[in-house]
Amino acid sequence: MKLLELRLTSFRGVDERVLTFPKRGVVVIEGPNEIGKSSLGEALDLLLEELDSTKKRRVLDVRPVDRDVGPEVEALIESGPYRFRYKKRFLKSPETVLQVETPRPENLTGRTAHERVQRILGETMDMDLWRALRMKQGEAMNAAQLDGAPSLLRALDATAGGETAGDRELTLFERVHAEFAQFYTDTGREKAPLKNATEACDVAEDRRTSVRDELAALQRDIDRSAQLAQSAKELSAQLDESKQSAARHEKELGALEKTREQVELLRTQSTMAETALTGAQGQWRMRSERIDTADSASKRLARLEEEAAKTRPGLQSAESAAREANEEFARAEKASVDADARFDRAGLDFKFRHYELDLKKMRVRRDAVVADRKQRAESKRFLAETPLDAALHKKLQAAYLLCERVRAQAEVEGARMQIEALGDTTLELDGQSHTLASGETIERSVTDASELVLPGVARIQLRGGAGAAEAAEKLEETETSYRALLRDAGIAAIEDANEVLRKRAEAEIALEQCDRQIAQNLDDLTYEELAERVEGLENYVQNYLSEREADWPVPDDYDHAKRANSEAREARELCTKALHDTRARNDAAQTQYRELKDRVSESEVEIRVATRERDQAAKSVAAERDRKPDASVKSALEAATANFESARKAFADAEQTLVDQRPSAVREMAVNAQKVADRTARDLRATEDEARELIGRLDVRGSEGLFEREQESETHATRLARERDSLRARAGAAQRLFQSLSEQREIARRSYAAPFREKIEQLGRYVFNDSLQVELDENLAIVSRTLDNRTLTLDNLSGGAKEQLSLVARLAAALLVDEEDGVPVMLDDALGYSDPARLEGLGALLAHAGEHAQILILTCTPGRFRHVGDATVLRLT
Amino acid sequence: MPSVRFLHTADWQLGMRRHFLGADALPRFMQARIDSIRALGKLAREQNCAFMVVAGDVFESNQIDRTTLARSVEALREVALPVYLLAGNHDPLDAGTIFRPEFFADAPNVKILDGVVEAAPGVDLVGVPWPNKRPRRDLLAAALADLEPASDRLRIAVAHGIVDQLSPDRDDPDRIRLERAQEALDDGRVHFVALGDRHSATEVAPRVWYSGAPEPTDYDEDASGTALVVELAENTCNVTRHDVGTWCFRAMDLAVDSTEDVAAVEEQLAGIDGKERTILKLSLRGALSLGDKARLDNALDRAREVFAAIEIWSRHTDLVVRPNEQDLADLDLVGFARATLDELTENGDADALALLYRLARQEPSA
Repeated sequence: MKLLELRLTSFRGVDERVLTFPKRGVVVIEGPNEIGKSSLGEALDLLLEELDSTKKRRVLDVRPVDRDVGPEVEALIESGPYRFRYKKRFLKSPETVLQVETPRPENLTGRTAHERVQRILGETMDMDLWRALRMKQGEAMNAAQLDGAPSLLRALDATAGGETAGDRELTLFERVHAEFAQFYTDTGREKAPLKNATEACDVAEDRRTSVRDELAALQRDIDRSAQLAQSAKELSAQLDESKQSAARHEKELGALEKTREQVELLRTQSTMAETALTGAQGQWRMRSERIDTADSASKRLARLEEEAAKTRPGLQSAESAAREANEEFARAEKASVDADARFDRAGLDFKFRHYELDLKKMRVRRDAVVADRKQRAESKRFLAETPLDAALHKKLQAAYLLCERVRAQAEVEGARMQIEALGDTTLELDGQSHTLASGETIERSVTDASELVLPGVARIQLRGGAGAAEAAEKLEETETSYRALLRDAGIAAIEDANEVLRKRAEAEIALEQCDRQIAQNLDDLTYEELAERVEGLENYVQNYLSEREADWPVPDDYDHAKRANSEAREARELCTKALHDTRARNDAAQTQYRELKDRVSESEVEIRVATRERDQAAKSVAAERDRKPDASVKSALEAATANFESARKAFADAEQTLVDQRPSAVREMAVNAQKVADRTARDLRATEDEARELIGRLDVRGSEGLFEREQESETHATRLARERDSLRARAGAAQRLFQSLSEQREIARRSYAAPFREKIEQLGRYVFNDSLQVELDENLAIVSRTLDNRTLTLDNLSGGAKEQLSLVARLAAALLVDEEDGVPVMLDDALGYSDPARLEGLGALLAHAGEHAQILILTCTPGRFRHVGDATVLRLT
Repeated sequence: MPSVRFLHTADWQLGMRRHFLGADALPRFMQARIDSIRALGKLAREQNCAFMVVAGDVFESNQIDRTTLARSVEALREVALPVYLLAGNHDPLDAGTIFRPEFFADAPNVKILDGVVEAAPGVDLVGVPWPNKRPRRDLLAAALADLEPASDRLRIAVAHGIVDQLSPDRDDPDRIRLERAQEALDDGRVHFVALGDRHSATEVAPRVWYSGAPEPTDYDEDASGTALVVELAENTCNVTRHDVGTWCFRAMDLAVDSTEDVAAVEEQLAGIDGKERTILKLSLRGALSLGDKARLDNALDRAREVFAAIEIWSRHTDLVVRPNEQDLADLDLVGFARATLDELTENGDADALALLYRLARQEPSA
């Protein structure tokens, strides 16, 4: 769309103004404030959008204040193939006039004209782009809303190499979004229709469940009612049966009671007969006892008298035997005393001879001890006086052998002298005379010095060398030690040592033997005790004989005494035994006599008593018989016995009959039968009560039409579920379609956002520099700028930078769209925040854009756009 | 030996609802069942029937709404002939039974069958009601076992349940053993067995009949909407079937693969009489273009306005939507919208495609 001419008449403060514009290029409309620059854009909007009949505020606002005329706007426009002149007068004598020049002339007025222009513009002009490319006063810093401009999108799509997405697609998108928005929020949450449908379904489902539960409960009641009816029927039958059973058992109880009464009667009769029998038995027993008592008394008296007659002769012989036995016992007693005396004497003699023998033995032991003690003292003394012992003897032997070895060594070391008598001769060697026969020799070693004297012939002195002298000296030391040892041993020569040593051994043996013999003879006594014993025995032996009564001789020796003592013991034992026997016989005889004597006395007493008793019993029997004869008593007993047997048998039979009737069982059965009947009656009542209650409940619930309510609720729930499912299917389809459409649009946008961004960056370099980069959002709005590697979001940019980027974006859009689709870029008092340097760049940019687009600039600052090269300047006055 | 003519019907199931019926169709459906009572009464009177027997399932349940009961009783009263009602498995004679004399006080011509009753001179009905929902025994066999052969009376056994010959469930203890019924017919204990439960009129054996339901209840009934007029004597038995149903359940299997097929469906639907009393269940199979699918949907939407109900049998429906050249030309979509169309087509998203088709073809003013 191109605006070629604009005429304002009586429009606000403007009486008449006509402006013409080239099809492309920059037109700068300058004028001071309130001259009506903004009215130009406003007038164009009113012309294109409002009916001439409108009374809207925006129209009332443009009335001229000083005249009563209607504001007029007229424009010459080219859009697509159309070129038309379009005029409207508002408020006063409203009018709309359209003159279409191409492609074919049309002259229309009024609403028809308005609608025709709407159609032309709708067909040929991108209204969204028209609105987006306008920078109104005060809106300069706002980002252009370019994402809804079909022509731009078409251009971008074409640039991106895709097919053009046109109005149809955008309209479709809006419809799909509208469809989607019926069910979902933009964030994807379900809206009321879906929620309500689901909630309604839930409520209906709850209602259906509730009614179903009620129906199920009712059915349970019905089933229970059938069970109760069956139970009541069964219980009723059981009750009849149990009542009959109770009656039957009651009848049995009555019969049982009669039997029991009969038993009690017979029990009484039997008891009475038994009492009578007991009385008769007592009578008869008393009579019999008295007769027996009398008989017993007679028999006893006879027996006592018979026994007394037998006892009396025995008493005399027992008395004689007792006397004889007593005498014999006295004799035995005397013999025993004598035997004891003899035994005592023989014992003393035996003791005497025994002590005497002990005295001899003691004396031998004492004497041996004395002799051994003497021998022991001698041996001890010898040992004490003899120093040579085995150790010393060993030393002596060693010293002796050493001397011999030293001497032999001295001889070897010294000269050897051999003297051979050539004839019989006498000589003196080392002071010792030797007589030698012819040819006899003497050999001698010369250890130190030797002197040989040939009597009368010569004195020959021999002296050994130095070695001989040393050997002689050592020999002297050895011999000195040897001799000292001999002195210590107390012997003269080594030859005595062995003898002394033998004697010493003998003395040691004797000493040991003496000790052993002394110990043996002392045994456990000391020598003093042994000696004291010997002395005591000697005194006893000497005194016994002098003190002994010499009625008969002392046995000759120990053996005789021992034998005499044994014989006396045996004699005494015999006497003792005889004494014991006679004492026993005496005691028995005495006892027998005493017992017999006592028995005779007792028998006499008993006879007297028995006689009296016999007499009394006989008297009593006689009296009883006088009163009632024995036969009468016996016949009475027999009669009572027969009567009792009869009564007892009758009672037993009746009692057995009662037992046979099992009274306990019958009673228990009767009680139980009654309990069963009572319980059954209770159960029946309870069952009937519950059944009545159920029937009452069923009457109420049955009339509520629960089945149909359940069906209705199910129908309702099913219908709601169907509606919900249908709604959800619709919503789902809308959601999927919208989602798919959005995704595809986003993909497309991503593909054509790039050329738009590139165009902005290309144009922006007029204003900024070559490092400029911008980032766009999904709505094609600039969100950040990068300059010299420094990135700032749009919010953080200065007002001037924002304004400049906003203009650049609009110009980029204007240059991208097809020229046929293009609309004027209208800037109303823009770029007020830009500095002179930027204004220069902006001027170049606007000049560049003006080569392809129609750009209308309204400004009250003439110099602001002086950098726009080929700009057409219209100055308003 | 007397003879008699009577009307044999069963399975009224008064109070029955169908969930797929809309708020408009359901009351008509329910009312039709009550109206059928009057139709049956009219038929019985026209055929000079002595009485009418209803062999069970008179009501859909013992717990139906009292309004439904009252309207039913009123219709029964208008029959103006003796009507013998038998309790079936839907409305057994249990503690909650609807067959209480006080409920039918306004229709003195109505009798509740339970045991032997004289329905006409020399004619006895042997009513075998269900005592509860699961009697677990052959009720008819038990009732017949107690009878002695009738020498000078006609006996009609009225029972409810499936006969063993027609039941696949051999373990069902409630089945009626046909052999026992035939024995009773053979030895003269009864002369006709009037059965209910099977909704399609069926002669099970000579003198053993299911009357069928007077109004259909489901798609699988091949001979419902019927009643029987029985003319019975000792040696003759003439049974005449009468169609009395006004409603129709119809299942249709439709193959739709072209515009012509869709047009054929439109014609088929248009050719059905009594649409307001017809319930359709459709199985749709095939592949349609967007335009054809929209046309089919439109046709079904229009049909729904006149038919009692149209169900789509989803289990047996397999309808694929594929845009064809004409669709693409009609839509004339480019850019992202065309990409969306391609994506939905690839996904086989018929609903989204239909929506796209509809929205894209809306008039601008819409």
